[in-house]
Amino acid sequence: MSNLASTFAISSPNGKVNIGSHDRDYDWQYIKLYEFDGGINQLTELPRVPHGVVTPKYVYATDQYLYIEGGLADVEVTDRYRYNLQTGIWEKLARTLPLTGYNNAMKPFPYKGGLYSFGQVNLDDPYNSLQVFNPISEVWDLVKKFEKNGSLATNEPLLIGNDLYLLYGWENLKVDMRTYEEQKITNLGQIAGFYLCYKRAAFYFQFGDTLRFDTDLLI
Amino acid sequence: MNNGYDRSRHHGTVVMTTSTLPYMDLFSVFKTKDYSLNFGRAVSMEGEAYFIWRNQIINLMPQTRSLNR
Repeated sequence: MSNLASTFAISSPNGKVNIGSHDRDYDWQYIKLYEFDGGINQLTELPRVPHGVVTPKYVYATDQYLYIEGGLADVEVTDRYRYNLQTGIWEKLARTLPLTGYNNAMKPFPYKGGLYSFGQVNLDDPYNSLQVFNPISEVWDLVKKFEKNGSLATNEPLLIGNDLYLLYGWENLKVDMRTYEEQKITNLGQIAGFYLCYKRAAFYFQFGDTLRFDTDLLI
Repeated sequence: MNNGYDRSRHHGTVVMTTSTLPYMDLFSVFKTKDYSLNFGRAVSMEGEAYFIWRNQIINLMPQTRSLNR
């Protein structure tokens, strides 16, 4: 296995990390799912998701469930599944996704007790949207559409305090999560998928180098 | 590198444990200047952050996060 998190890595409200891996070199026909418990430093493989997607459209977790929805298997699928963290059983949701385009996975992040997601919802609409998850209806509701297209360069949106940093590299946005007002910020050049935020600083990779920016300097 | 991955247990439960997932210091990761770092994924949560790169889950300890280049 060349890359443990080749497909996704997300944080879960239970403090664990959920990881997805797909490796064509091993001729896997499905995505391998793992749960990492940093408290005991243990990685556990989870049962495979029934719809067999290898590039999910949505992956996110709540206190009770790990959701894997839509994406690409042999063809694009719209089925939504949730993994019950208590029973260890996959459950199919009644509502499906529209055909959304599997290439652009949505990127979830928690904020003040809620679960949000950012990305290109539908390939027919090039602009990125901010969505919020309704845990009762289990659907994503639109919060705001931004006149910005392309994929984020980072694994997750970067959230520091109430500021959401949407880093694409050349053009970047800061969004105030209290008002959803957006502001263009510094061009960071071509950045890659790694960032780490700590206090008000963040690190990212750029052509094999690791750089740091201070968010106070971004505006 | 022996990463502890056992293909015979594809459908099992525990496939890796502490001993096969060494924590690395952030400095040693930065020193590598390995372009494959670009394919790693960073996951942040309150008080913790992990960098998943190749077959390793790297615990980015708070004391190393203040690294300034």
